[in-house]
Amino acid sequence: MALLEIKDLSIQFSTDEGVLHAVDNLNLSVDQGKTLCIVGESGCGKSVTARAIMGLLPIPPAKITSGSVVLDTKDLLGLSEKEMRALRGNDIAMIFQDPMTSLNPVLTCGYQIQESLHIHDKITKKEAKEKALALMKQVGIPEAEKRFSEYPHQFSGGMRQRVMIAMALSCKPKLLIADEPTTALDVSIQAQILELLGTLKKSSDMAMIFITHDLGVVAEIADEIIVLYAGTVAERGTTKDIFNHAAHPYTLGLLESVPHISKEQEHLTVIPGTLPDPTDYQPGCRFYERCTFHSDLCKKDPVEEEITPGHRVACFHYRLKDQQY
Amino acid sequence: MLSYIIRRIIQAIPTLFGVTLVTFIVFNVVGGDPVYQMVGKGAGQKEIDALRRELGLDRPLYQQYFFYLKQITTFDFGRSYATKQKISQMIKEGMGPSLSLAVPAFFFGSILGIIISLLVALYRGKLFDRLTVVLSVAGMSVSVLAYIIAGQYYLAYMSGLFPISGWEPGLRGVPFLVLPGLIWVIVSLGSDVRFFRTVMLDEINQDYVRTAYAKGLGKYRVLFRHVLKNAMIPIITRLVIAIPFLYTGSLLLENFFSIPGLGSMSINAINSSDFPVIKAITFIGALLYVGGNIVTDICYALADPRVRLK
Repeated sequence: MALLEIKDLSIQFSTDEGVLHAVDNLNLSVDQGKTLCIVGESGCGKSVTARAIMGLLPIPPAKITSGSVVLDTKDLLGLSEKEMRALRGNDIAMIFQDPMTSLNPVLTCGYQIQESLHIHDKITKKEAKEKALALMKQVGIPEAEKRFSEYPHQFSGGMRQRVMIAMALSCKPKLLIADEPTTALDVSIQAQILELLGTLKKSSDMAMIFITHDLGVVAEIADEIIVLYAGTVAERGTTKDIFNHAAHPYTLGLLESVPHISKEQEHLTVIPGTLPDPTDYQPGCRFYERCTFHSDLCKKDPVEEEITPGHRVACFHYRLKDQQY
Repeated sequence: MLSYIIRRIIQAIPTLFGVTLVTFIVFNVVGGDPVYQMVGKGAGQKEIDALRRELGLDRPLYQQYFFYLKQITTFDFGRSYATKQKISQMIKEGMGPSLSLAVPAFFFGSILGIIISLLVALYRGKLFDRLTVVLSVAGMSVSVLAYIIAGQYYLAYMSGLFPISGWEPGLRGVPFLVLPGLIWVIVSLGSDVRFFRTVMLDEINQDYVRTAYAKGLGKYRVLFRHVLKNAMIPIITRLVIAIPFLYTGSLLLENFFSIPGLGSMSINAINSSDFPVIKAITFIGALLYVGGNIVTDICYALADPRVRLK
């Protein structure tokens, strides 16, 4: 059974320009010990989905209009704020994009790590400190005793992200949501953080939802991938399915736009056009305007079709792919 | 830290020196002759000269200035022209009534302002927030005189809840201080809440607040442990800057409520061209202001670990 199962989730925001459809009828599930990558460009609904799982959407203006988010057997959307608080940082933890601003600048890193221990496990201060120190060592922070009482500004970007990870892991979550945790870091540090997350995940058997727009990162850590476009799923499958047998024109476009070190390129390949206006979606495929394959078929709403077991695509033209490429 | 404080105190000396120069020039050089005012119309030249000699105003300016500097450094400001009392004694006596009104009103008002703005930030956009903003603007817009007159008429004269005015030393003075204190709090609350609210809203949208919520913290813990400590820097700035002004009390409140504090004393001194008194009050004000700035810097370092005093 899946650890987390999202069914038919739709999220809207009311804005001055009208109702913004952030996520439409999203289905996904994550198994214990697996990593699901959610890929897509800015504004496709990745982070909103993560916030919805955490119960951290600002309501209003956000509104969950349909669906369920089930962790184990509990529907998170039906929980009270108090019940949700007991889960947050405990069963589900989250790490954020920018470790520079996501840590509180006026509290010591040690305090920030032990705070969730303090809240969720009823343990003494001394025990919490010992646990926090052990966590700091586990995530690879050298001289943990000394650094325990230091402030975030005394840490480098990579070390800060390690502090964030230690914080998230402190209560041994079943599910870790990582919202672009490497985007703000140097490439060499990125690799270190990804490796750390990989090792930690293996040793603790937790599930991970990894949100990113960086396909290079995805290839390294994903078990399964969901490609989101304009709040809907374009394609989903295993890492192999997506990287070797991509079927959706949008996925193909994303893969094309990754620069290759072996190829000499004058310009980077881009997908022409921009995301459609999320307050004014037309019926039919949302990728229509930017798609090279579009035809009258695409004026109908696409549904996900299974190509091979587990590999699904929401496109009428995926069968044409072999002829076109 | 200690060497920083010492350095800041040394740096303050030129500032204070400048203050003495300015006050001296304003009063002794361009301020007109106090002697004419003191002796009144129809006094003879002999009388005027005698008084001048007595006050030391016949001596060259540089000598007068050194005499003034000597007074300042020994905190012996001479005697008042008007009452012939020793000024240091007058200040000592006036400080009690002033501080007994200003200090409680200031602390109560500031703490209330911080708490209200935290709650407002929590309920942003809700009725409580909007109501507070409207009331703050209304509170800021109405002159303190209106509060004084309305308070004295309705709360003191009509309903007899408080004495209309007056002062007594010790605990017996407390009833006299309630109404002016209340007015002080109301007047300061308006602008304080507006300012603190902006500071809090700025902080509450920061990423670290989201992190704190993601850890499963409740909103009060987030507010008091995480947000308030970050908001302290601008709050400290605003509060510490206000502290030096506490010693002069409120000119208007003391005057209307007949509280014999430094505020009343200043107004009387200005009315009677009592230059030595005004000079003394100005200088002590400047001294406290410079001191307040140093205290602010130290508070920064205590509130924010990123500030290193070097």
